[in-house]
Amino acid sequence: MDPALNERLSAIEDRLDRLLDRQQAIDDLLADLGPIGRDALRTISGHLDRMERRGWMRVGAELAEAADGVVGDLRPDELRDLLSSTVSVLRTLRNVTRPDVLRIVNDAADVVHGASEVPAVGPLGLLGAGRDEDVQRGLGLLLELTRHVGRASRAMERAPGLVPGTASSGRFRRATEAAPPPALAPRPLAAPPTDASAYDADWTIEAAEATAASLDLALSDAHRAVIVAARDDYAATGASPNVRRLTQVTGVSTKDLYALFPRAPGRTVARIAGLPKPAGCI
Amino acid sequence: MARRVAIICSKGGLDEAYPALILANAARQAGIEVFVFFTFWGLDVITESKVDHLHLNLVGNASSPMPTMLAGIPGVENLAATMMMHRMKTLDIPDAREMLRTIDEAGGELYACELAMKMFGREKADLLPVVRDVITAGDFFDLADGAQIIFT
Repeated sequence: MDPALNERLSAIEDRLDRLLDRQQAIDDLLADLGPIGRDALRTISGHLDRMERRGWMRVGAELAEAADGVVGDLRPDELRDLLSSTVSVLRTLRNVTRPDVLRIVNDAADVVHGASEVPAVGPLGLLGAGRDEDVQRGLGLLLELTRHVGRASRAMERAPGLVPGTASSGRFRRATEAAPPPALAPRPLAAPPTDASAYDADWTIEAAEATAASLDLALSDAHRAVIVAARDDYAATGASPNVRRLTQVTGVSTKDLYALFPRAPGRTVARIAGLPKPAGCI
Repeated sequence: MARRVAIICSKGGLDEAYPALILANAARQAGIEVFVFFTFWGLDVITESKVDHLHLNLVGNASSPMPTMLAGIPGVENLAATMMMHRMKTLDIPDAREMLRTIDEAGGELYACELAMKMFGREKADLLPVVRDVITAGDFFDLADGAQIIFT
């Protein structure tokens, strides 16, 4: 026989022996583990059975159904947001359930339970309580908490993150989708701007007639006298005359001015005369 | 419907009456319908014997430059009111009587409060002729239906 082949065969034989040994060991292990595994299974099913009898399963099913409802109700982008925030939700949960935090909450719950024995406190009592070291500490804690909540809410306002939706939808929506601001009431009269840019150097009485017609106003001689006086006054003073000034330069009474130009005489005259909107509020 | 404002003037100090009067006048100039209701001390503003002698509120006024102790000395308030009226005259701001006439001529409606008139023992004859009527608060609300309300 070829000595090389012989050597290889014996090597294979060695390996087969080792494999058989290992198989034997696994068989032994399984034989040993069998009863333990059965025990474990029995224990687990026993636990599940007890939980079932105590109503845990029903709670679990309800929870799963609720979660399903929530998830099904979410739009894809909302679902993504929810999943991406899972880590922070879990971290929050871990922080909140730390024993010291839980103890504080538990103590607070005890106090609420015994609420009937706690005396009512008025403004004076509040002042007195302010001297108590524990109250001071609690107040400090509450203030710090409030500060954090305020800071977070401000950050949320600045960033286009998630904001609570309207009560009717009960959902979350993007801040950028906020409702448009309510429309302002229409202005009584489209007045010209106050600055000199509104001055019409090429103004003619014909232009005045056209502007007046667009305001449903037919110009009489009395109208024209006021308008011309307004232009003259602007040329003399550099300021568009307001109602009071108009009464002074034309001699027309306030009452008659309002009769001639029923809607906002100062602004109307300025607009027809090609002048800026009169400034001042007298 | 045209824009409307209802202004309730409840105080009669020089510095307290003017905001109401100027707002009313400015609203009319802007083409807004105006109703002014004078009640409690605001009645002084439309009372013939008081309108030219409105006083200035110096004591208890945080914005007054004068120390409260000085402001309380008799005559000091009169001096301050005279100074303020003089200042307004140089700025061509009309006095209260003329402001009221202007508002009335511009179509602003001025009313006196019936209850306050009884409390202060005043008659319609004591009031300026520009006052259209003596009415109750309820009447005023009916008149100023749909108006924006300003309380001064």
